[in-house]
Amino acid sequence: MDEAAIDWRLTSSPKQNTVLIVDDLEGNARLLEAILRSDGHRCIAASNGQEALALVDRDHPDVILMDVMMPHLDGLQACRQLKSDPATRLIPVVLLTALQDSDSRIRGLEAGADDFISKPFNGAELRARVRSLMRIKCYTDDLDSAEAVIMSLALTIEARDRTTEGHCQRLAAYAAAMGEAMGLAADEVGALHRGGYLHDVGKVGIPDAVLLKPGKLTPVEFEVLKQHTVIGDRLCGELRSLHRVRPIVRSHHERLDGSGYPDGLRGDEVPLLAQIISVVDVFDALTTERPYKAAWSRGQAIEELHNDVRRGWRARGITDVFVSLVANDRLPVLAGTEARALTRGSAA
Amino acid sequence: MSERNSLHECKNQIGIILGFVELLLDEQGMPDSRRADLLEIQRAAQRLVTLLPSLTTSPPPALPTA
Repeated sequence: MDEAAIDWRLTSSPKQNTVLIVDDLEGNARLLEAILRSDGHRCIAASNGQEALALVDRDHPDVILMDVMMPHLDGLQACRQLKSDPATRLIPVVLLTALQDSDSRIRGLEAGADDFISKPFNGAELRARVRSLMRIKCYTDDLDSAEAVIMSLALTIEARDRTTEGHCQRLAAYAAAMGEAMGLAADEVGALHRGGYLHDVGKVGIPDAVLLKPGKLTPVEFEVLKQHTVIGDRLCGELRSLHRVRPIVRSHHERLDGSGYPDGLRGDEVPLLAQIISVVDVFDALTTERPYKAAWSRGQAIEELHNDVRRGWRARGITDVFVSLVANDRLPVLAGTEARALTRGSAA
Repeated sequence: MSERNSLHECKNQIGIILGFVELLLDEQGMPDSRRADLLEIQRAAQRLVTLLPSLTTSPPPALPTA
């Protein structure tokens, strides 16, 4: 499975209501299972943190109930690992502890635990808590799939225009490589990766007659095309998980001198991530063949980016980072249309 | 085993007793005499829980002397 497919799973877990119980004391695990089974949940069990991580990977549970004190990998360590992995961090983790001191709760919160239950626990309370966390998990699963719908929309647009095949994948890989080269935070690099796919999602609202027109657009047609930035921003607007991507979608055609669209932003008003996508977008458009032009060489495309800097359209610093990536052969190499060279930990 | 660990272990074991008793008590159609037996187990286990703190009142370790 390539990275994009992992990031944008189109299906949520088919096994609903699975609770993973992690406790080294068999009696406790059996008790928890008996209580939760009576409430209609499917239960799986592990006897330490290590086993739990393997089961999470295999069975994608919806809620995890985990003892703190366990051999091998304890509950806090396992929780920390689950919460640092984007693939598992949305699974609610409840720490079960016989200790009531606030110190262990603080350590649990620091490890990212979502809830605590003190032993000996009350069956009714346990059922209620698990039910409530299941509801939260359902919401986050829905969010995941909403994001996947928007993603597939973006790929549909690419498919409408055969000449742009692979453009999104390349952009995602190049933009994330830029973010890493610039030392941006992991969530910003993640936004660049998604932005590469989603920057033109608004083109779904642009008629084929305009989008696929082989010749030059009339001024009226160009005004219609410009709307793809605003439409895309609106499409992503409802999703919290895409809030970092929205500025890219809306502002990737802005220019530092204020001559871009849709808002005519100037200088620092143009979001950094949008400026980065803009550089790689133009580079990729120039170096690939389009109905109205042949593919330019990399040298010619870089010269054009320098011209943009001289015209006051884009920042020299950002452009130079990209030029040095190209010059040092550090752009991710893509096999076919798949982004293979990009190895971000967050995609695991 | 340290006192803290023993306390942890005791709470765990009593928790298992209480949990299963509670599950059994939830079952419908049980004769009253059986229910009374289970309630007796429950009361005893609950009493143990309240006794636990008094088992852990040993003085704190002496401070090292200079």
